[in-house]
Amino acid sequence: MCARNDSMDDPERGSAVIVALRVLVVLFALCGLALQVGALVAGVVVSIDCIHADVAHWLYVIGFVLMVACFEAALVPLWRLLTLARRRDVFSGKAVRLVDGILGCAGVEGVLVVLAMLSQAWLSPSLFLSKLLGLETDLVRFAVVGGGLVALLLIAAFMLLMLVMRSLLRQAIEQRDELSAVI
Amino acid sequence: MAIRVNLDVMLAKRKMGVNELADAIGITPANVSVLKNGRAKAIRFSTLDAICSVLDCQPGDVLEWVDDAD
Repeated sequence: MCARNDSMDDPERGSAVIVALRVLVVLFALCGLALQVGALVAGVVVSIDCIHADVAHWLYVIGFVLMVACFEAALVPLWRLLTLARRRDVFSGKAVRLVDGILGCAGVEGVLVVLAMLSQAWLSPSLFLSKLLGLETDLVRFAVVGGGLVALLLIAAFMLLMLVMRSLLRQAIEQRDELSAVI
Repeated sequence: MAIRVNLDVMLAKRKMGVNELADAIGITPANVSVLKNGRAKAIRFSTLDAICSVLDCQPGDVLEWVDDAD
């Protein structure tokens, strides 16, 4: 008989995996925080150094901070999903709500990306971004729109994956509810 | 439900209560009531085996099909 190579079947290995994932979540959160602080510092430096700098660059700083905040917000339901996994609480329905939370964060992230792309269409090319990316002012528009499209594609792929997993989870819960009615 | 579970009759014949049966077959008294009152949707063969063993009867003694149209 083949032994199942599933770490969640072995409680000790399962909890080791969950601890490792929790450490990763904390690292991601710290990286996100560092990126946000870095962006704010860059904004302040630009305000002080560039005498002619207008407040438009703060738009991009705040936009970036919000985008990272969306990612950090998704880490909270992820942490709670890990707690459910540790407790083996799969079928109570709480996991579905947490997945919905993650989907919501991804949706908001997508909206922010679209807003960033639209801002380049309406506002004049950002000197701040052009210095940051090391590109000529004319190319900044294309860089932002191109980067935005790639980001949207990745976010859409992620949301599709999460929707499929959510659907599988719901089906598992329904089947389990049906089975639990068996005496 | 077209399948009727005639536990009352067998319990009376064997002079056994619901709680006693529940303990003997290893299910909760609530589930025994669900069986008795025709609210059960499905039963395991292992449960049926335990019922027949404890009540010393055949599955046909506790299970009966009735035509819903009647």
